[in-house]
Amino acid sequence: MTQDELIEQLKNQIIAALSLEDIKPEDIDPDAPLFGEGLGLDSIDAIELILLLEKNYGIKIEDPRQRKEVLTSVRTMAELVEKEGKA
Amino acid sequence: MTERVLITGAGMVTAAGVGVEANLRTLMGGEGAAFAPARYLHTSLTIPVAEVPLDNNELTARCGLQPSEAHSRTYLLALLAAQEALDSAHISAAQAGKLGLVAATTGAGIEVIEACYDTLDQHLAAIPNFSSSNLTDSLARYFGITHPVTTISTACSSSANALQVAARLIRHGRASRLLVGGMDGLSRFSLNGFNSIEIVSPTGCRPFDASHNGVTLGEGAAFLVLESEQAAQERGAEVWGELSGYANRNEAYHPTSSRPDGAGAAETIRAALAQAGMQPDGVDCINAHGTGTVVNDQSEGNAIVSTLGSGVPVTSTKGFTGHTLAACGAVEAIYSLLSIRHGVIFGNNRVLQPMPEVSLSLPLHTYTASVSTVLSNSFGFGGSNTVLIFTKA
Amino acid sequence: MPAYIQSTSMISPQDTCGEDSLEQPRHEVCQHLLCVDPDYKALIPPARLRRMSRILKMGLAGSSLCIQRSPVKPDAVIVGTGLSCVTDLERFMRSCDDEHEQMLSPTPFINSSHNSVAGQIAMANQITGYNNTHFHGVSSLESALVDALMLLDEGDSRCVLVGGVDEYSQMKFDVFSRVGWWRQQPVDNLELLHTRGEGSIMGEGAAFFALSGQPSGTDLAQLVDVTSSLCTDDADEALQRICAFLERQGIALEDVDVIVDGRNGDEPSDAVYEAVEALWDARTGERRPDVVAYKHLCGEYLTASGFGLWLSVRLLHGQHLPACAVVRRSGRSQWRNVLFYNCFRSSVDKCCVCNYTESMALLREV
Repeated sequence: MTQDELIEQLKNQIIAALSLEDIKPEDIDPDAPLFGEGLGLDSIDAIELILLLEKNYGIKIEDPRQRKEVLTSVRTMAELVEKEGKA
Repeated sequence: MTERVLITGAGMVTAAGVGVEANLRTLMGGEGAAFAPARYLHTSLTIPVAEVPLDNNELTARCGLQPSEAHSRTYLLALLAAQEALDSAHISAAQAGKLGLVAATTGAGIEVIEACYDTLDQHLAAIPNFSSSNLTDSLARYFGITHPVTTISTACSSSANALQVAARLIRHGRASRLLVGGMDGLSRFSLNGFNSIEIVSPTGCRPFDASHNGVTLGEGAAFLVLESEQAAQERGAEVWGELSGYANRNEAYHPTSSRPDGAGAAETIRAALAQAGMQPDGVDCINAHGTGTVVNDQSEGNAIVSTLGSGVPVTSTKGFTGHTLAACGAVEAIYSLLSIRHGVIFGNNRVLQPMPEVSLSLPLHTYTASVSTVLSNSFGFGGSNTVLIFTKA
Repeated sequence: MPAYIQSTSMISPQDTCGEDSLEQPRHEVCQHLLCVDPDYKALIPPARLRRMSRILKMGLAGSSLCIQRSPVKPDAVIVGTGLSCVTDLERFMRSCDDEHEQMLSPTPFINSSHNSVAGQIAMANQITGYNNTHFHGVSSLESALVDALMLLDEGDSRCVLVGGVDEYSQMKFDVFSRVGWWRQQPVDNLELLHTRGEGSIMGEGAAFFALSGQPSGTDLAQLVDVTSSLCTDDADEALQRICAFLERQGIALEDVDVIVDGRNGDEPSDAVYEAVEALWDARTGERRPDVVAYKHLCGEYLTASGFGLWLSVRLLHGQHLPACAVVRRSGRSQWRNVLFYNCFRSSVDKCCVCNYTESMALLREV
């Protein structure tokens, strides 16, 4: 799977996990920050996203600092999945 | 409106002991409940909890009941605590008809439901547990209580709010004598719920300690008898103390988390002081909500420093009991009254090294002191902050 | 001290959110009625909406409508709910089983906290005053209203938003079906009160009231007092309790212009209302009151009182009795005092699911 395909897959998984009903995959900029501005996500969504990585890719992240880095954008999530060899 | 609200009886069951005396001994001794994986709750989770050290058969026997699926663990704990409260207030069965009941719960018997909701046909006796008022109604039936009766459910501030509603019922002449408290048995639902939001301590809670890393869920029930001054005087009741101030405010900030700066809690503390007509320096010690999560401890610490300063002793008794959810406001109300009655300030039994972020006065051991006013915090999900003030009557 | 009702809102199985609809009431042959959904997207920001279950949507939209209509912004919130967020509770309970207590999504747990409706209302509208939730079966809303009256009297709030909310859930329908709360056969809801049978039809709804301690000049009605206690099946005693309640407000049976009662199609329970009203008529003769019923319009649920109280306010403010709600007319052309009178008895319950209570409220024209 290419990184673009992985990003597309992650976008769909994020939309489903966070019930972002009105958002289409193309509305999400893979490099835009996930939190704060943009999608308006909060700390509960962060837990849901960590859960998403664990459930779909078997990647468990405990360290809060690493979590913050990974959840910067859809691309940083994709990069981790690739690095862990789970793509 | 100026009717005083007096406490004339109390009863409790927690991991720190069955009965008020047993709880007091535990708090004086300084050793809290053992935090260990659940023994009585059916769960695959191995995180430590603080269970009442009796199984359901033992609890049923202590209540003098026949075993029945209708009785949730929560109900059994509540019945023991309520009976002790009425006994300690010397209220007989014949007088119970003039009582009202304000009870608090978050689980409402869910520990029964979660075990049988798909096989209801084999568990018809369990059905009453599907009703929100069942626990309260069952207690009311048991003691012959008719009116007023209600149940409060505002997460971890539930029984503090029950005490507040009860005080208001008395001040407004809608009741003169009330049984008031909270109850929650440990459930798979709450344990998994708290675990899912990642605020359960993997090692056992250490409120206000530098290494604090989450809550330890407990269970229990605590009930108090509240009376108008006139009702208490008429029957010559022994008075434990007075509920002289209360306030609830909402943070309107986050579904499960507190404002880091503690502004919401601070506003609630100020409102309770104002309602009691009291200055900050009138507070002798604080029974903190003190759950042991980093967010709570910092937020609450900030709120305390900004309203009452750094000098007033702050204790979290959740290091003794675990977090008893809907019961904790009533549990800690009784601890506050014990502080006043016995002239003691309880130690923070789980603090090794005070958290560095906020400068609080955190006694490590229980010590004797003259205590006439205790401020007790209870904060719940949904931004629900409640502060109660107890004074020597 | 009475409270002044500044505004109301009602989300119900009738089209009660927008323009007047009770002239052409909705009906269907059913065992339960579901709410007519308002345009939730117009009333709740999308970022909040996405995580909400039905009851949260109903609660948030209903509160938002009521706040918009009130000339005074509420500074406190009190919610009464009999079952609270039962759908999310069920979801989380099932996920514990299905996922073997591992990797559980936290959202349904957070939503299922029984005070989440009141907490979300506070967050959405930045209402930072008193916030409480009464979770007490059949008298949840009445307890919330008593709390509100005391709070206003205490002066800790200028205006309290009080709501009664409950949602339909299949599990609750099935459970309470076993204790006889519901009709065994589907029935047209508009025929519910006229067809013989035991049990009612299940409903749902969200009713909100903005109450203030002082009149604003545009008040819809006064809520004079509310009370609830254990039910009695003895009509004489029931009437005595009504008289005592009215006497505390300084009025007599003759002064009541209309009774809004909670009959729900459960024949043995409805017979008690009829017996009470027959005794009432015998006492008042020609000055007997009109009688209005509402549960055939909204279904029976633990905070169905909300629909009855909403209807009472509408009746006083509009001085109009909708034909679909009339049980009997007595020739009155003006309505000043409404007695809201509700008993949820469920005559067939052998399980002791709850202590059945009766509640009363007196509402008055401003």
